Amino acid sequence: MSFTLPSTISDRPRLLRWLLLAIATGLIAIHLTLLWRMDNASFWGVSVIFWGVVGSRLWEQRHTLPLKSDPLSMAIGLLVLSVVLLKTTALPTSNFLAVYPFLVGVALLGLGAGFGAWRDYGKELLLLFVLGVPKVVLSPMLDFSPVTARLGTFLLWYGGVDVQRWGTLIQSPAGIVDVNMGCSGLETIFYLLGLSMVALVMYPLRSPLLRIITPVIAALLAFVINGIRVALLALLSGPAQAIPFKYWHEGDGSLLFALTAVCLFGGCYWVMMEWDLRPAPPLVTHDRETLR
Amino acid sequence: MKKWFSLRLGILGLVALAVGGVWGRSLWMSLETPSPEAFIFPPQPGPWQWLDSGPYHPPEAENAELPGFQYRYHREDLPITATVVYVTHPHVNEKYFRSYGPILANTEIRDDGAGGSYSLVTAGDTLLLHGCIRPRGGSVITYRQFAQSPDTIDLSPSHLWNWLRGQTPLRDYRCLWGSLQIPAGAGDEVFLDTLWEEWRSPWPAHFPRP
Repeated sequence: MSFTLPSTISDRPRLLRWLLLAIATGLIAIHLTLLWRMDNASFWGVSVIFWGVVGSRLWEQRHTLPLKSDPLSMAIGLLVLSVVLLKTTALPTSNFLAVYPFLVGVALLGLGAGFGAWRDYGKELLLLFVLGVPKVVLSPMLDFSPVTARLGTFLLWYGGVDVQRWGTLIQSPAGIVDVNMGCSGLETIFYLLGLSMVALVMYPLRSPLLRIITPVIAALLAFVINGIRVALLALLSGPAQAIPFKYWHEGDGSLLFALTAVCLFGGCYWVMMEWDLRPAPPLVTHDRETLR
Repeated sequence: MKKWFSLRLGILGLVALAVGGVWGRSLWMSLETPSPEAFIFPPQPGPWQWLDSGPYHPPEAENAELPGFQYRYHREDLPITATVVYVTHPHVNEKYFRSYGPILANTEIRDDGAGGSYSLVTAGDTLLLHGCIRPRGGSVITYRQFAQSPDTIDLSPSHLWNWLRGQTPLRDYRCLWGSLQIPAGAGDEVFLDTLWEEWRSPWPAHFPRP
C-alpha cells in the first residue's frame, strides 16, 4: 500500500490516513505557532526536534501501524482534543504548551488507533511525555536548589577555595550568592533526560544496562555542569565582577553550559554506542539480530 | 462496520476543520495575560485597637515596587506594628520564603493550631512573626508547604473549568506576606500563636480575584 493522495472519496482507508495526517499536522502547527508567538525560542527548538523525531518514526511505520479505533477510544480522544483546543483558544500558558504535545499524542491515539494499540505507539508517547510533562509537574514542587548549592560548595572547596554554605547561600571570598530554584539546574536535567530518550529511541542500544544508565548519565551530566556554573558564579559574586556575573548567569555564558552538557552527553552516547557494537564474547552464540 | 468507518471519517473530517480553525485563530489571537487585580488594602483590618496605617514599601530594593501597607495597633497595651505585602509571582515568593523561612539558625517555625504556620525571629529587643497568608485562609512559611497547599493546586471541577476558559491560572501562587513586630518577651508561645491567628484570619476576605 502506498501513501498517496486518495484518488476517490471511496478510497476510505487512504482518506482516513490523510485526515489523521492533516489533523496531526494542524495540531503541531498550532503548537509551534503559539510557541513562536510567545517568543519561547528554546522550547520551540526542542519541540521541533521532538515533533520531528516522532513524525519521522510514524512516517517510517505508516504502512504497518494499526488504525482501527473503537467508539470508546474515539470518544475519549475527542474529549481530550476538545479540552486541548478549548484551552488553546483561551489564553494558553507556557505550562500548558509544555504538556500540549503529550495530550495531543493521547488524543490522536484515541482518534487513530484506539487505546488498545498503545503499545505500538508507546515510544512516541513516551517522547511527547518527557518533552514537557515532568518539568511542569515536578518543577514547582521540587526545590532542588539546596542540593545544587551543596555541589557548588563542594566543587569550590575541592578547588581550594575558602567557602561556606547556609542552606542555599554560598559564601566565597568574592561574596555571597543565593542559589534560587531557577538556577537549580532542574530544567537542564529534564532537558537532557528528554534528549537521552530521543537518543535511545532513534539509536537504540542492545545492552539493557546501557539503556538504563543512559538517562542517569544525562541527569548527572546536567547536574554536575550546572554545579560548575554555580561555583563559577559564586566566585564572580563580588560587585567588581557584575558584568562577567551577568554574562555567566543570564547571558550567552549560561547557554554555553547547557551546550557543553548536550555535547558531553552526545560524546558519552557515542562511546556507549561503540561499546554496544562490540562483538559478543565467543561463548555467546547469538548474533546481533537475534539479540534484538 | 462500514457504517462505523463512515462515521469515523465524518468525525475526523469535522475535527480536521476544527483544528484548521484553531490554527488560524492561533495566528492572530492575543496572547497577553491580563494583569492581576490590585489588592485593595483596608484601612483597619486587624481585630485590635487601631492607631494608624499607611502605604508600605518593602526595604529590599528589588521588591520596592510591591504593593504593601503598614498598620500600628495596641492590643491590651501591647504595641504591634504590622506590615503586609501582596506577592503574585512565584519567583518573588521564593525570595520571601528564603528570607523568612527556616534557613537561618535563629528562626523558629510554629503552627498556630488552626492551619497557620509562621516563623518567629528575635532581633534584639523585638520579636518578628512572618508568614504567607493564603487566599483561602491559613498561612505557610516553607516553600514545600506553599507548593503542596490546596490553595496552590486546586483540582476541583469548577476551578479546572475556569482555567480551561482562561479565566483563572491553574496554580494560585498568591501570598500576602504578613509580618508582626512586637517587643520581645511580650508573651508565651500560646499567646504568640493566638496573636498570629487573630492577625491572619481577616485577610482572605480582602483577596482580589486571581
